[in-house]
Amino acid sequence: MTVAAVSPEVVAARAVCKSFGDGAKRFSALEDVSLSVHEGQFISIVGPSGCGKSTLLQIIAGLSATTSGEILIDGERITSPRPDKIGVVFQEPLLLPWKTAAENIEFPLALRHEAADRRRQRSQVLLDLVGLRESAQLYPHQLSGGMKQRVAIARGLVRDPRLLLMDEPFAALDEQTRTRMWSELLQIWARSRSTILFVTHSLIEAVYLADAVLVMGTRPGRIIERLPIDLPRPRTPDMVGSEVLGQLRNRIWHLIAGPPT
Amino acid sequence: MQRWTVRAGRLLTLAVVALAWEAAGRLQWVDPDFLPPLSKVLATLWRLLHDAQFLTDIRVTAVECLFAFAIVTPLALGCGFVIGESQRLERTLGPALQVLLTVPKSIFLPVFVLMLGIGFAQKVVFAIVLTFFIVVPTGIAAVHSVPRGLVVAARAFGATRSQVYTSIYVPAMAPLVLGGVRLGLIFAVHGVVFAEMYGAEYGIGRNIMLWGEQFQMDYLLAAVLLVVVFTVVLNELMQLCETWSRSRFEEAAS
Repeated sequence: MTVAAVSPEVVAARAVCKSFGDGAKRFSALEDVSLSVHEGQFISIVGPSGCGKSTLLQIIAGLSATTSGEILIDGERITSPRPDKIGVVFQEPLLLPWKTAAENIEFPLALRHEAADRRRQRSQVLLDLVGLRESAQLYPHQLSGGMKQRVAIARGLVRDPRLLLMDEPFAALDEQTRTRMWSELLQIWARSRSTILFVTHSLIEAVYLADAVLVMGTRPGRIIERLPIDLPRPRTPDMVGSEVLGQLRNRIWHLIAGPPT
Repeated sequence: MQRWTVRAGRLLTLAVVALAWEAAGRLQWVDPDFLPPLSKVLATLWRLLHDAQFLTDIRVTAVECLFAFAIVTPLALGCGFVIGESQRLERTLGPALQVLLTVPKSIFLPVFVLMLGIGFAQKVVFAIVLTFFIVVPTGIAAVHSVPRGLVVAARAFGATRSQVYTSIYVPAMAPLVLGGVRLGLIFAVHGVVFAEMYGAEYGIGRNIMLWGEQFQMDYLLAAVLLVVVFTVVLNELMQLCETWSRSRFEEAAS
């Protein structure tokens, strides 16, 4: 944590507002959201549904414009997708069904017309990283839910981005697979030394994975608390049931749902 | 094994129908003047296929079909694509397309004859009009079949607009586009032959009409058989392409 705090800032949101509609129908999805993620950090964003966490992620990914405020990556303002700086993993794996696992991982490189052998080299490295070396030539429908999401993570990392954005990537998985994916993801994060911004609605998931949790509130969507998570690393699945983690989870719950009665 | 029995069953059905046809005429179940035995029809067909006049008719019909198909398929799929891409266009034109799809196009045939005569243009234009409104909805459906999520993902990974079309739209739409091509083929033939039956100087449709009026049932059925075999073979070939593209492109997107 102390190391992460002095490392350079990778992404910053400055007073980001986002509203939809006009006049009386105007709806404020995000209000005055500011955040900062430093190199090597794993930051979770958690909040009730409708708090605008996915909207925020879309904005950081450059897929959606802000109404006011700005997003900076390495100090540079962005207004459109920047695949060189940001990799994205969505809630659905969103793999191209007509391409193999390896080809899906290479897809962002293919879009830049990189040479086939360089692409192949890179996808090999990433298949190893996510533990899917044997499945390189399989098509998405031949992979399990967890394997598909690992391919999606590899695709998100293929251009060696400054930041990996993850939008509830494990929400569609069953609990056991999800628990395994947590360990996988933390290992991938450690090995690739990437920076991750992870959106979820699961409080346990947010706490277990992250260095700090940004808790969002709704109406309007805003960040109500930044909670540092001082659990030691490496995190192990046993910690999920630990008292410390449970207390942190409860604190977040009360931030969202109101104080205990 | 199972597939083999299914195939054998289909062949058997075909054989039974052929035999029943043959027997119906020979055993006088029906008046052989109305339904000549299959062997006689096939013999007539064989003769026809060596008849220079009839070969000209086949060529005329084939060229008309080809023209109609080559014009209407890209046109209708293109229109369907543009309409399907724009919500506003679809809401505006949707009801009109629905009405035009419902109206039987054959009622306009006299108008086409008055405007275009009974030559090449009338056949091709009628076939185009008939086919267009059938294929357009397929084009619209093809656009709708493109998973929005994949488009968003491609954009996030830096795809330009044209890359979104080539890397996502084309493969995702392939099965339905091939389905549209198949419909285009079937209905182009349908339109041309039908227009020929209404009024023409050459063509298979004209012969079918003429032989019917002259009560030459073996000739009539030979020509019918020819058209049936031709369209069935075309349809099966297109279906093969479609199945292949589906197996390749259309797995669940997640």
